[in-house]
Amino acid sequence: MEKQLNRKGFAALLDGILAYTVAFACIGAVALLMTNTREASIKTSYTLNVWAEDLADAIGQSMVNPTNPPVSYATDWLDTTSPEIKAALVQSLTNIAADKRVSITAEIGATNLATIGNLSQASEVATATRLLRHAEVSTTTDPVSGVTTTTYTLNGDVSVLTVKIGI
Amino acid sequence: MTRIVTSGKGQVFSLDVLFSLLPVMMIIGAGLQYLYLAEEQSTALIEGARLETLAQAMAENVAAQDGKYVRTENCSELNTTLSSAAQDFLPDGYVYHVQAYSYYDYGNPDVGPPSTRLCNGSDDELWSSDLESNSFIQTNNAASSDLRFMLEYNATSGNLTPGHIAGVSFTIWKNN
Amino acid sequence: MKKKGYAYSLFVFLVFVSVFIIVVTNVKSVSVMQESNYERVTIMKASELGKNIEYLLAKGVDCGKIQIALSELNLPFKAGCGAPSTVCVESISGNYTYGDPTVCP
Repeated sequence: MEKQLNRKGFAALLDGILAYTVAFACIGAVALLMTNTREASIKTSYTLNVWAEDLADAIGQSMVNPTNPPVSYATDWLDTTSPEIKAALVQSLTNIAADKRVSITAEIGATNLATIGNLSQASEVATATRLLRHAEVSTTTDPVSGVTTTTYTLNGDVSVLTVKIGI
Repeated sequence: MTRIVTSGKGQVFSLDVLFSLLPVMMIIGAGLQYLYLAEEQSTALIEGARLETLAQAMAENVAAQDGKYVRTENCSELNTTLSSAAQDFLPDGYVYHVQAYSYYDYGNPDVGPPSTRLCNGSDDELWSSDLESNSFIQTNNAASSDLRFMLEYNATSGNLTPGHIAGVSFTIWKNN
Repeated sequence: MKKKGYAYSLFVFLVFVSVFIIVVTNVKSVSVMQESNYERVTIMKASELGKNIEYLLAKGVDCGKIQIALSELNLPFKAGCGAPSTVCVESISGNYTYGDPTVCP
């Protein structure tokens, strides 16, 4: 009697190897996809958060005394400043938003300092918070010379600066 | 399917067997190629992550100085900080290049690069000592960069320039 | 013959299961790496706010007012101050603490 190759066993081996290869490829693809998307997301999140913190520091340090006539910037981290400095901040933030294709919002308490772009359309938003010293601003106009003088006093209160950056 | 017949001598390398094994060989070959590509990719990934960490460390070292600011000119102070940071953090063969530019004096962002470069003077060398100032990054190297925002500092008045935000970009790559 | 086929299938099944277990445990370690990355972001933010609070306390701001302001914020970490000039920032997991931990809420 002729010996025949054990077809059933051989075919089963081929089937097994094929099934194993397909299963391995599927698991590998799924695992690879899962890690890749999360890795990219955490890098974006870290960069956005660093930028938000940097901008919050830059804005906080820019909030210097709004006195008119201006004195040297001896104190900082106030919650208000002169209109010229606010305009300069808005200009800087607008250019940053245009260059980096992000949207930026800066608020002090409930008062809006700068809104560039539409944050609600961003898929990822980072927020940075700083505390600012509240300054009571008073403006007096000298009736004789017509000169406007702005002074401020600190009453110990604290305001909150919130900077949001979205991409 | 062809009927596989063996003689008593145990013939293995018959045409039928090889024909049957062909798809298996193809799958194994493709799998090996994929593994090789994955290894190449992971090596590049690791080197990229390393460069990124170095760039971030250098940037943080500068940003964490007393007062987050960058001078507009005569940036020998920044140059010194960068050199000492490079000595602390960068292994041999890694070089850095730093650029500072104003986001207040930006020109037209739709047209081209920022118009106002800071620290652009003759003695402001914000790059590794073995680089020319206009050297370009070799395209077969990976490079990593980190961007930080700081206020401009007016050395003349000895004060920060409030409202003027500058971007400082740190780039690290391996010099082959 | 049937037994040989059964043995091969069983062998393949065992290999499949072991590969699956290895991949799943490796994916879990990747998620642990992601956790530590999220922690890194939180630590960076906590230390930045800590510096800010320290500066304010050095300028003579009252700690009570700072605490009121902090309590209204929705921060991903704990931050607090104690009279006269101690600061505390702490990550939720407790892995990172700066300053005096007793002062954190």
